[in-house]
Amino acid sequence: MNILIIDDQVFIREAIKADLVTSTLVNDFQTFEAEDANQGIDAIAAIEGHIDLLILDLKMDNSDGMEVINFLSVHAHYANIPLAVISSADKRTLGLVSSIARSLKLNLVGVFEKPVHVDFILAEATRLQNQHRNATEVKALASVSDNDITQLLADDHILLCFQPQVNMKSKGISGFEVLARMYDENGYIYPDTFLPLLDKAGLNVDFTKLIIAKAFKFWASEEVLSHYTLSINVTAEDLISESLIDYIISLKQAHSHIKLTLELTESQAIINEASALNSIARLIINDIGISLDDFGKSYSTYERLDTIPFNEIKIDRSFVCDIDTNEQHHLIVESTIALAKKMSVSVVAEGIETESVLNILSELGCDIAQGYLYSPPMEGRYLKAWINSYMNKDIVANAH
Amino acid sequence: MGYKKYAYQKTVIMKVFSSFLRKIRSEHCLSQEGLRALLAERSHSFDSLDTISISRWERGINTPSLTKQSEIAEVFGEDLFNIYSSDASFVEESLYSIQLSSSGKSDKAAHPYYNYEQYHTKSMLSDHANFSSMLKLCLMYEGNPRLFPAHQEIASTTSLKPLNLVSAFCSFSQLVGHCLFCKVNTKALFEFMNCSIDIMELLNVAKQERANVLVVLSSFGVSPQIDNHMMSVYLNQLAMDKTIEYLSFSTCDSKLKQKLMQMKIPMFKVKPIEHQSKTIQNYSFIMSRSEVMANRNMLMLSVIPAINIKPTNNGITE
Repeated sequence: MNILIIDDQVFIREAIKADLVTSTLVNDFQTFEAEDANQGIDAIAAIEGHIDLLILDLKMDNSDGMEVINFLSVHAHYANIPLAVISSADKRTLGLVSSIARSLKLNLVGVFEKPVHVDFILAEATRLQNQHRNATEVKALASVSDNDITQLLADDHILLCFQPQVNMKSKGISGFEVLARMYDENGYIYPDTFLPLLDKAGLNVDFTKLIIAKAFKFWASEEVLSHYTLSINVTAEDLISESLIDYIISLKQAHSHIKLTLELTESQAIINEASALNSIARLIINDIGISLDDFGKSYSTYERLDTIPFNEIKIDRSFVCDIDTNEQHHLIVESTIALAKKMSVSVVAEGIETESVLNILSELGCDIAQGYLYSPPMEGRYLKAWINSYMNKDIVANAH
Repeated sequence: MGYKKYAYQKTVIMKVFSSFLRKIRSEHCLSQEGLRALLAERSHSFDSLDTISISRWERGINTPSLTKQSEIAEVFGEDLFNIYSSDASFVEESLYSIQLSSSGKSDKAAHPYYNYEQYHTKSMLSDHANFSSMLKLCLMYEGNPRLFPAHQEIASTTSLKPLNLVSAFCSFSQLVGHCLFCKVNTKALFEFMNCSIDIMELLNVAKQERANVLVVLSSFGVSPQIDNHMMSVYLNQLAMDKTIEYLSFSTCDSKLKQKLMQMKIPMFKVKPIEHQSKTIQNYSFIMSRSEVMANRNMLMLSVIPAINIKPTNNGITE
């Protein structure tokens, strides 16, 4: 086993080597050392990447571990070297480095806080290696391919699921967000799988049109549903399709009693196009609400705020779900709600899973709550039963 | 996973559904047109359905997806589990996924000590004599610091009562698989997933409140067959107990995570857990009963009757 240690401090290198000698997890190994990034890179090249474990310090005199990480990522034949990053930096920095290494598709064993014990690193490296071996033996189900997606769409293998949105003051149901699923003979297919395929096949706009048509049909068929806002996701690309916008407006005109909100996901480049802004204006004139979806997730959040006359902000679930334990997320959500109040727009928080998160949001003055605490997304055929049981629960709760 | 080997499966699915359709239509004295009209009236999913398709489904020329089948079954107050589990040939077909076949021997065993010997399973509740020792092994495998911290001795049997542990053994009582699960309610489960409550509080809730979700805390088998078998144990429990609305997994085992993702189950969340200066990822999954039943692999495993996992007692001393 070849182990390369890149660390500027001699005593750390010695400590690691001493650990290795006493470790029961390795018995036959050879260590290589480097005291900065350049030396490390030279060493990797010199032994032609025959390294079974690379232990890399993040902060070194005159250089940093990121140089080595970048070197590994641009040389594909080195990208598989098992990499363990060690550092005394704070947790957030460690988290950042870990997500960078993963996004560069490096073979990351882990990011370890100093002082480290080599056994932890070795155990983790062995575990990952075993997993990797097992992984290749497990056969994957055939994936949905580009061709299939066109066929599935043509065959109308689409299912609408709904997740309730609840008014935080009155506790009444305010609306439902439409969440699309596709399905094949193996089971449900979720947006993270089918959206990229639809995108590749150039079927985005057709898909949105189908979803809106189905949702309207459903909402129009059930009297009771017209009390609730129907929220549907649209992308910026949908906005520049004039025929789609015409279609949405004609549906809304034909069913003027249905309250429709379009949740706009990001992609600032397109939104700035005149045609997209023109579409937004037309939708608003026709009494269709615009909600800024995934708020806080994109870089262009504030620019979007400035250009679009929206009436709702939707805070992304990644910020909401842990505001009771994550101080930073708490601050982001708090200031977003405060900003929304000043702009007189309503705020929807999605990703609410626990009472404690709900209580904090209520204190912060959030308007509408959505999340698994109320219900996971459910198929349209269960919607009426859910509404009835929610209302009954409410009556029972008030009676006490 | 070895599902693909069974090419008959699709034909059997077709056969089961076509006979269901014919049966239901005669029971309700419906013509094909009558059935079409009834379905179209109940759901927009059947707006474009015509009698030609119904006739093809009944003759087994083709078959709708399980998702659609499920919707049709529900119109008649039935569900896919009832339909498929009462079909002997489908159950037999499903049993292949947990039985050691001669062709299976050519596969590489996933475990160095195990070479496709016959195995048997044993279901244990907390009052069983071997429960705590088997639970310890299960937890050691799972490595989830949130299920019983290492320093804490496994608590009294009464507090662990809601836990179900099933272990698989081959000769010489060697452990070759296990699954650990319990029934709780979703509210408490989300608290647990978000670390607002710990495992003991979750189990405590399980004893008091009406359960609507079955949560799997660990599931493993050294071979694909045993792995499938362990999965079939809780899927069958879920299918039988109609009060359970959701299936959930909360695991630190990336092999299980991988298997679920290959079964096309979307991950609900990943939560890093700090433990002894290591970060361990805790993966959560949650799916509704209708999603479980529309998933071909899960439906297949769910119909494997629990009778087949009764311990044979060979090699086991109690």
